[in-house]
Amino acid sequence: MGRTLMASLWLQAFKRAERAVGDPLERLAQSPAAIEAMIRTAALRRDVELRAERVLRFYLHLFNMPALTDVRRLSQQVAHLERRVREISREADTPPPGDGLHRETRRRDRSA
Amino acid sequence: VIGPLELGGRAGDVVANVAARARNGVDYVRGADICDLCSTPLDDVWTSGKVRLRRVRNDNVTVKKPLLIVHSLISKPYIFDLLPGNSVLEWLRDHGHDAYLLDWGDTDETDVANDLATYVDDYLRPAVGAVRKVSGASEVALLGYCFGGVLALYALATDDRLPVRDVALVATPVDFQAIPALCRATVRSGLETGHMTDTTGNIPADVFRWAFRVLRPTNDLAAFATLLDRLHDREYVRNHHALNRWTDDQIPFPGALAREMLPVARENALLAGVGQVSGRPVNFEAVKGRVLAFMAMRDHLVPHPSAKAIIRLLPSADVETVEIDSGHVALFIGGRAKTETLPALHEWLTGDGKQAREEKRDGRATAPHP
Repeated sequence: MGRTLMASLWLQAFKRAERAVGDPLERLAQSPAAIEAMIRTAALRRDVELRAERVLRFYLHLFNMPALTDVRRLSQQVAHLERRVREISREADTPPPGDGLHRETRRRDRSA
Repeated sequence: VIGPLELGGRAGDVVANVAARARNGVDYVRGADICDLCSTPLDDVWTSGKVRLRRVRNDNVTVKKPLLIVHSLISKPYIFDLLPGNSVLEWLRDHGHDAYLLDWGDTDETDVANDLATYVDDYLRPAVGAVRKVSGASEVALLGYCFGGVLALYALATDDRLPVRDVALVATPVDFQAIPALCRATVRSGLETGHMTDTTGNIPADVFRWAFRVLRPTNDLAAFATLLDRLHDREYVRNHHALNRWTDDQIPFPGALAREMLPVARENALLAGVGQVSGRPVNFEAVKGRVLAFMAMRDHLVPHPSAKAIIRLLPSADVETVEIDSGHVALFIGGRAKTETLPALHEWLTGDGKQAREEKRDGRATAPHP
């Protein structure tokens, strides 16, 4: 009993302190300046990744080796084909309306 | 005055407590076999690519209408089957439901072109058809969790022949302007999908993990302190471990869908009733039937006003709201789920306790729609 009470007391004190620190931190994290900084950081990270990948691809291609982006492009092409097959087979099935399988033909190009 | 017997008893308690804490602490750090994730037996009844429709094995179905659970796209669906005794699927099975789970699979580079039409028309609507076929029921009830609820709403608003009249929404964002961080990022700071995507073209899972942590920077610390306090409680440790594992186990978000949804968030187009799926315009005013919306009062991801806007979005539907004093995930996990969320869902689906709910609803002055 005594131990439980002690434990609860320390936890309550801890949580009060956590809120005292956490509330202003949350406000700060959601401030326009912080959000702006996070977006810039994310964009910078993406930029660095793209550049690194481009350099790596260049050297791999120099030795006639496939890069990850080549494999990725192939996978995406296969996925695109699968999607087209799904669409065509569903259009061919033409189930009766209202059974949850009915769909309209999608006219736009959705290539990967 | 403490007698020698009582003193011995207390000493024994302390030793047992310390031993339990040590054992649980070591197991937690090792992470070995401390939790038995996804233990409810499921059968795959329909697949399309990596998307699987999974039926909860149940020999004792007493609720006529099947329930299809539509999960969000940024996390894995085992949150619905976290642990024995703390599982939505297990609870639904034990209460006689014929439950189905739509598992989107792990998003990767092959899903980069998946857009709203893919998820609504290629997966969700056929899954509804498959549930009908497998169950033999004429109608299906939907349960959309978080973004899964948004997908369910788009499916309903673009197909008035979809055989769905009952939709339960759990922490589903409707008013994007009521999510302060998202609103600031999209409207004021000009957040674009290109800022977040990785070299595959998808938004990587760590962007979400990072964003959630930034929204509540001290949350992990507070959770860890509670864990330390309750380290002697094996059940609590198991639940904490399982939930932690799930929150760290997010999946990438498809790039094309993000490019489609970011303007929706920026212009608050869902609440405005503007949009289309495969060229079919949305018509939320035409959505009839019953909607039960669960919302958490302490939800920092989908704040309560954002979810509550469902009442304004669906003027022709019979919308009921259930407000629960919890956070985003606790709506469907832990004690509150078993005592509040799931019983309310069960009563709503079966029609039990309707009068009590109506009285409660009137008392809360939640606007019912004819």
